[in-house]
Amino acid sequence: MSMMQHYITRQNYEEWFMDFLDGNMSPERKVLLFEFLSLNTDLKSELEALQPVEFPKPQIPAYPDKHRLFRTSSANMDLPETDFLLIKKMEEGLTEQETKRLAQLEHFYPAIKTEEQLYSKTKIEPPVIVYGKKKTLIRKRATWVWPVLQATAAAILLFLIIPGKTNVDDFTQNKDYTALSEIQNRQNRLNPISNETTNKIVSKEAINTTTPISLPSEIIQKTSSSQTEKSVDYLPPTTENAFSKMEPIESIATTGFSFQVSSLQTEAYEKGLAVMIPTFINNQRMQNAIEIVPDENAIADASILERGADLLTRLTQKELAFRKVYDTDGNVVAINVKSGEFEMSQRLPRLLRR
Amino acid sequence: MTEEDYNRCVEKHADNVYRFVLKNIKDEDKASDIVQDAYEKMWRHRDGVNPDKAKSYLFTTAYHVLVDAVRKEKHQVSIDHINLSGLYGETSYSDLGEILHKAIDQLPETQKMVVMFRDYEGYSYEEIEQITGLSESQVKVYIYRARVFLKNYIGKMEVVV
Repeated sequence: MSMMQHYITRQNYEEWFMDFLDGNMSPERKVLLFEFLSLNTDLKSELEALQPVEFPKPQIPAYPDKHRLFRTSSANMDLPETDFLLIKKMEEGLTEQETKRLAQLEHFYPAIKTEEQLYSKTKIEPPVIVYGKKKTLIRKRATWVWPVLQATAAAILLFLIIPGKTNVDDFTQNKDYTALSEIQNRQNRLNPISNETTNKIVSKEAINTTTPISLPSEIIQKTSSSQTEKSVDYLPPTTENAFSKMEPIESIATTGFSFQVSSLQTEAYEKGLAVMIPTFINNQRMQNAIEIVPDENAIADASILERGADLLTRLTQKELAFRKVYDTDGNVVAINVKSGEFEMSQRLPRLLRR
Repeated sequence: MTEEDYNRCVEKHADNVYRFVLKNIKDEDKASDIVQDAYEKMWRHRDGVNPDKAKSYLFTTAYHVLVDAVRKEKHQVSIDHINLSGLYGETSYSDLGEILHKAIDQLPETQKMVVMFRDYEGYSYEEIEQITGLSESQVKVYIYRARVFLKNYIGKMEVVV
């Protein structure tokens, strides 16, 4: 303490006043202060003005979110204990111990009740949304397919078993003389000339009457050769054979054409070939088409769609064109395929358009 | 799974799957495509699908397609997402449901889907685990964190309103 502070003056009276108001003044100094004030009345009123100013005692403010600081090791997640307990109460339910703990916390921290109300509002109510294209997902059993398939298969079988005029016409138009010579050989193998039945089968008359085929004249001449006709001469005219005893099947009338099926089915082999040869020729043509090796450079530049279209064009002899359909952003949104009068567009799923 | 089982699944779950996908992807066409694909896949594999688990099968399929789609789109919509993320941008809510659905849009994608499985479909943690491929504890953590976020969001919005 300096010498100056031992005596109160008009220069240091403020310090003396503060010490007096704070209660830090000894009785001796108080005597000096009061003497000073009796001589300086203006300062006495100043001290009296300061005296009522009393600061409230400082209080420790309560931390409003103290309950958020509690943690529990059972939570095993980075959450305050109260949040954990409130959510668990809503989601799974609490154990007895956890219920007690929550009640204890709620007792000391009423704010937890408000939080519990807020948590109860976080359960989301599902909005009512209806999928408009649900009907497109329904799969219906195609009950008509099996009978139709059966009928189709039966029709195809009938068509193959009973040779029609159409196939024979194809055969004659193709003029496959090799096949005709095979017919002759086949007949000779099955029916040796010495066999008495041969005369009925290979005679010119028999061919003309049992086979409703309008074969070219040169073919008929070849198939009914003089050699076979001669064989007739060796046979006694009155001899009966097994074939002659058999009754002919009644002629079958169908739409468009009719023919008589001989009991011997002598033309079955020819007609079988007539069915098979066009198929064989077609297969041969397709095989040739497949065996064409395209230019390597062309393959390297072509897409798989282009290569597929090229192959199909070669196989079917029909021009197959395809094109990509773009939207305004330049994304491919669909593929369009066209061949002759057939045209089909397939929209691509959105996820595949990028 | 018979054809009848399959068609029953369509009647029963198509709306739910569509709602789940639509709420996550916000695009009706894409949502429709995903639903179609999910059912197409189930139809193709119907012999191996247990009818009792058909719903999970559908949601699992839709979930994985959705996750891929969301990942692809994430960077494209990030700007919009930021604009929507302001808590105080729109204060004209009068209905708690609207506030809540707005809040759900703010959640990270996985939390969002998991909460939807829980609240929309009522799935257990175990079922969500099977659908999403997450562990049960992960599912639990996602749900708890989502709840905290939603609670805080609702609290703030109520103060603002």
